[in-house]
This record gives sequence, C-alpha cells and structure tokens, in this order.
Amino acid sequence: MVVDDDVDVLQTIKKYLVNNGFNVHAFSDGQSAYEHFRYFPKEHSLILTDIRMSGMSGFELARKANLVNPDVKIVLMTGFLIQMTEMAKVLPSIKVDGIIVKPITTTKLNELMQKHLLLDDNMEVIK
Amino acid sequence: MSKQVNSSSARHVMLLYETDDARLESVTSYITDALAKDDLAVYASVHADNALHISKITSKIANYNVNIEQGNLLILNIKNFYSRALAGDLEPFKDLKAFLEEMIRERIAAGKSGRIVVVADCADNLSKNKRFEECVYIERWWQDSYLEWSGKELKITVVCPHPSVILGKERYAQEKHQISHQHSLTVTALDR
Repeated sequence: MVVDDDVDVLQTIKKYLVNNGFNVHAFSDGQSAYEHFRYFPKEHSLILTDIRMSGMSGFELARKANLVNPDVKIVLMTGFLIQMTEMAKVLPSIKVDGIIVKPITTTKLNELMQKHLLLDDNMEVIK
Repeated sequence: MSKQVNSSSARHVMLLYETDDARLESVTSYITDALAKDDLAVYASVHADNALHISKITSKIANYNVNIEQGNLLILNIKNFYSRALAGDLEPFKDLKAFLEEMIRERIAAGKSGRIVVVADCADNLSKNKRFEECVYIERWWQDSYLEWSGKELKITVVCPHPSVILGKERYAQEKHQISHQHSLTVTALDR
C-alpha cells in the first residue's frame, strides 16, 4: 500500500512497483487508506506512507494500521534524516520498520523492497 | 545582555552571536534549560554529521545519553535542508514541522510536557554565506509556523542563531533588519 497526497509522487511510485511485479493499492489520503486496510488487514505486506498529509497524517495511519495488524511493515517517507531508533525514542507509540528520505528514487525503492520483503537483487522473493 | 526565553511562552528567537564559543554557550543553555523543565529539546543542525561540532554541543549537556534514551533530546540532521532552501523548497521544513507537532501530541498523551525548544541552524548558515534572500524566506516560514502554533496554543520555541560578525556590518543593516523582522524576539549571545 502506498499513501501520499502528492498524486504525482503516488502514481510514480505505484507505477514503478507494479512494473516490478508488486500488487499495489495507492491512496492519496490517510483516511481512505486506513478504511481499506481495516477491511483487508492481511492483504498488505507493507505500507509506505508520507508523514505529512491533510486529514490523517502518516503518523496516525501507522499507529492505527499497527493496531489492526501488528505484522504489517510500515515505512515512512520523510523530508529529513532520522534513524528509526531516534524516532522510536521520541514517538514510541508508532512502530516503524523503515524510514525513506525524500526525494524517493528507484534505488531507494529497490532497497526498501529488498530489505522489507526479502527480495534478492532481481526483485524475486528469497525462498 | 543575553536573556534566555521562557519556553512556557513560546517564541521565535533570533540569537545573534559574535563568536562560535558564544553560540555554543547560548545554544546549549537553551537546550539544558529546556531539559531542566522536562521539555523536549531538539538540535536541528546542518552540521549534525560533523562529529566535532556535535561533541562540543553534547559535552555541555548534562545526562546527555539519558536524555537521548528517554526521548527528551533529539539531534536532527538537517543537512539536506540547506540545498533545498537555496532552491526555495520548503518541503523538508514542512515535514519537520509536522514531526514537531506529532512529538507534542505524543508527549501530551504520555503525560509529559507539551513544550518543545528547537534550535535550528539552516538559516544561520544561509546568513554566514550571505544568502540573505533565502534566509529571509526560511525565517518568514518559521515565523508563520510560530504564529500558527501560537494560535493553536502549541508551545514550540524556535531558536535561530545568526552571526553578528556578518549581520552586524553596516552594509548588511537592511538584511539584518529584514531577518530580525521575521522573529518575535532578538537576543544576543554572551561569551561566558
């Protein structure tokens, strides 16, 4: 699941992931993403969300999604550098599995997918 | 005379400093004062990846490691903010703002102080490099943010150091005035 209220960014990320064989649901607002996730909590391996969106923020989406399915991996897109350990200390109520710093590049997306979805260099699932 | 700002009355502070030592003393005073009041202190620096710079800061903060572990102190690397500021891109700043607001919510929900003191030095470096137009643009954004927070009663104090060795020069008097005008308070750091 990819969530970003910048539609251009959203569609670009979705297109890249789809072209690499992923099944992607894209949402331009946190509330819609959460409503979908609530009904299909096992359908998504990973939620990639921008932190800053009008309405429900990426922080809130992460918090709520984790309550629905603690196993879903959550990656935040931010504009500043911060380590997960640092974020965990100042925002302990939010379980975050990764942070990706904007601007998002295909290299960063590849690393993200390989790290969190156990893929090899060819973007194939490691058995 | 330097005066520290009471974080219970949040401000957007322009901190003029003559020397790096004066800057260091004042910046760490803001941080340690915030920690003493159980506020969250954030040092957001374009030099956060400079080990020497950070060690000078951290060596003056009592119980540095404990405060980091307890989530009362955060050293944030905003190196990428500088190049974005030169391009007139506020997106990382807006993300930082959202992060600060989220941290306040989290702290209040946890029964902690809902006050934050942020020392941010992107504009400092813009001043140093005489990128005054970009500096005013960033400081105007910080001022707008401060006013928005004030309206929502969010107690976030932002401290922006600026070099008086540059801004104190007569030929930059107008630039100094423009930058100062984007703050709610201007103070001068003291060498101790």
